[in-house]
Amino acid sequence: MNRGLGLWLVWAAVGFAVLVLTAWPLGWLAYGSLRTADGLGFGRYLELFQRFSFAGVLINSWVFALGTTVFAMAVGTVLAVLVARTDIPGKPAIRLVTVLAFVSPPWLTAMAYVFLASPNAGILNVVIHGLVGVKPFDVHSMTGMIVVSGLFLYSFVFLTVESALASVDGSYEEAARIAGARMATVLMRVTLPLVTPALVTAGVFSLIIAWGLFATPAILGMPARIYVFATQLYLFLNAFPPRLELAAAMGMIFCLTAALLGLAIYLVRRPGAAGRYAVIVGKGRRPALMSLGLWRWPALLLTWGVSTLAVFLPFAVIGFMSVNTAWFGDLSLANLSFENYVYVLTQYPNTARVIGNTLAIAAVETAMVLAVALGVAYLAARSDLPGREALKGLATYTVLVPSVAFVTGVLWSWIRPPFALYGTLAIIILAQAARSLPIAVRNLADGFRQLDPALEEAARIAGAGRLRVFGRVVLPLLRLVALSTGTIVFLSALRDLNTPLFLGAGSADTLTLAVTIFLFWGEGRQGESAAFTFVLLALTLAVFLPLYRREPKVQ
Amino acid sequence: MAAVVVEHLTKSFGAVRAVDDVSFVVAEGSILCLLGPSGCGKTTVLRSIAGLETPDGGRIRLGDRAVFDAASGGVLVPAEARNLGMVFQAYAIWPHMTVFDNVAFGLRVRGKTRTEIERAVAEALGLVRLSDLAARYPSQLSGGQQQRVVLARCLAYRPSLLLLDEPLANLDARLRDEMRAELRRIQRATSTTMIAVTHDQEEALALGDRVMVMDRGRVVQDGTPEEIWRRPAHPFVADFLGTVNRLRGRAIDAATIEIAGIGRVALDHGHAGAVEVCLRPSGAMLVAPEPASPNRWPAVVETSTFVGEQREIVVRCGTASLALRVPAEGAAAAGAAVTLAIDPARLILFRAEA
Repeated sequence: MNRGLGLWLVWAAVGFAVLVLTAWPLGWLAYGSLRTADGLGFGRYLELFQRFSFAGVLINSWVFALGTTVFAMAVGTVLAVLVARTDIPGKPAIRLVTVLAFVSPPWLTAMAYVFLASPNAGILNVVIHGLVGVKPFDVHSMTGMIVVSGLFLYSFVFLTVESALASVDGSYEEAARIAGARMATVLMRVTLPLVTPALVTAGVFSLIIAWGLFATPAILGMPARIYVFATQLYLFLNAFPPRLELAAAMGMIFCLTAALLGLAIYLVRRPGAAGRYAVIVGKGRRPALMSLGLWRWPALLLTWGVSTLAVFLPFAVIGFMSVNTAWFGDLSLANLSFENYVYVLTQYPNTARVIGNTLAIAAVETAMVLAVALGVAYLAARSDLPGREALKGLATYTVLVPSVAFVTGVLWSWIRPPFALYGTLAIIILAQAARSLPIAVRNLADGFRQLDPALEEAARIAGAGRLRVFGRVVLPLLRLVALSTGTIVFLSALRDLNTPLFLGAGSADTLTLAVTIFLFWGEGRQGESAAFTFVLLALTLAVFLPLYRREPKVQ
Repeated sequence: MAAVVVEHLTKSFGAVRAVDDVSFVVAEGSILCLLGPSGCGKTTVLRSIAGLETPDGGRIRLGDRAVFDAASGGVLVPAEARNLGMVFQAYAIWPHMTVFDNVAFGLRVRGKTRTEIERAVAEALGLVRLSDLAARYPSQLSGGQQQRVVLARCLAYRPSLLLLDEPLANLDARLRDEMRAELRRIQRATSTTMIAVTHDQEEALALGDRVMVMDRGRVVQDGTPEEIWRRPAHPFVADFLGTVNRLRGRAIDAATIEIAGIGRVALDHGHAGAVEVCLRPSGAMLVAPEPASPNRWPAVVETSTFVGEQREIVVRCGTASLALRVPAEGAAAAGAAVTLAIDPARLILFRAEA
């Protein structure tokens, strides 16, 4: 009997790929954290607390992550309710702006706010000082970090909660209103409780994403000596000699915390509880929209105020910086030119290599992720092989691991012979692929769920073998899902700073756009840095907008 | 020669025996209908023949080829090599292919040449009367047209056997009648052997050369439509083929049966002791009141509902309520005293189960 042989081979190949991508690095992270000068033990954890004022970093990390999450949840949820459940005008525009906030490089906002609100030279401070004689803003502070990160993260909350709200059947709310509840009561007692799973998920992932944020704490916090998890990790890795064991121990602490938080998601999504929120109906009726009346004006003010702070203002500031050749606090228009662009595109010696690296990493990673995720989703949905669900779990658990912690694990696992990949493009691709695997597997698994198995059975009955069924029926029917998934993976690779920065070993061979921008910024070359950011933004939009128009609900 | 031979087929899902020792034979060029309520195992039998389910035990032979044999290693021939056609309940037309490409799929898989494919597709589309829609996409077709595409797709490569899973369930009543006639016509024209699964007794009787009634994984009766209708082997079959009044009775002598709480019927029967008597709704006529006697039962009309050519009435007869269908004209109104005239030849008798 060799009927299942081909399928077993796929299983083996996909299983191997997933092990190498996700389990291997985390195993090394755990091992590395336990390594001490004399064997294995918890010595590094003790050292973290005793010698490196880790408690301070721990507190800072929690304050930063919680603050960011609370800010993002508040803003994101309010916006989501406004767009999904009220008659606020201009919804497509609000959605588009929020998605732009989500796909634009995360350091863009931080850089822009340094320009706007740094304590001495920030434009807003200068202007207000001229009027009333005080400089009220200091972006190099914990508050600054939280607000600026929140202005990125609210978009994630919005996208998660809005799609859940939009699929709530309107009759639940109508029933509450018929029973005599006012709009606000309906919202607080019926609508929001119904989307509890989405709210919990958004909150937990916001925390985990916030722990993994590096660019904003680095640009805003490090000058003021405020260190959080990600920036402290960066210091450990860049110390001489690098403190790899300490980095691993710190990574493990955050991994374990994140795993505990993951339980919260499990609790609201587990089969027994899901029924209580089971409102995601396939052909749900259009939700009944609340009429805002005069509240429309404050709602519009809030919505477009947030959009301005998160997208319009930063884009404008970075755009201005990129064409400003004078000192960065100078607002006059006399010094505007395209000199920065000319420099980064034609004179900077590494431009071709940097752009080449960035595209190569993104392209190879996308292909790899799609192949592995397709295999995982196919085996889980369409085979009865043992271990297929475990494989899916293994492929998706990295979503719970803060990005810099995972990157530290990858560093540990590929740093010594015979697998010495540290400082190569390959290690960057491996790490990013593992990070992107969860969303790809989830999207494709959803795709399979929407595909009637009878379509494949019909092709088998007609005489086609598994391979041909896959090529002629499954792939063509999943092509849109695969396309949008591929685009998401490609985009997140384009703007990823953490992975190439932590794993590239500072070598020119591994420079990407994001890393170059970060290094330029560190050298005080803000104009060049802004110009490159705009190049990256242009690349991003060129890839993203065609897809967005085709399918407006891309996340 | 038999086109399909199924022997001692069993299949369990967890603790549920979906198919329990099912055996049957389908003659070349005939239609077998598997009839039963949902969950009776009929679809599992069909999917096992197709190769989409792997049975736990038994044997399946298609023509002279054994395709499944639990005793010698299970699946001997995978689904794609069985040369079957299958009509799925939800059609399963590939939405990304045109009608032509859908129909051509099985031919392409079989490596036919371009001219062979064009000829066979044209022939199949002609057979289902869709010749002018070859370039359309499935989403541009009506439900009935989609059903025809599925048939053409299955017939184009001339399968040895066509399996139909609730083929007409997704059509409205009028289209269903039309497609049922079409199915018969196409079957006659191509003399394709077919096995159809349905839960609709009317469909089974009209479509099948033979009908096999299943209940809880077992075959209850296997016969021609007439046999199934006239001589159901079990009260379940009688009931499933049209709700019947199931009554308890007792044989008094070889020519009389006493029905508990109602009255007597006079007929020659071969039973002794307790019997179960099934009275079809059309098995009694209303006549003017007369005293009780064998085959004449006084009754009172309880409800009377007009449903077109007939009335559905419920009468109280002794201690029992009976559901009957009578001609609409001259039917008694609720509350009227009547007498039921029983035609003993139309009663169905079973030995009572303990």
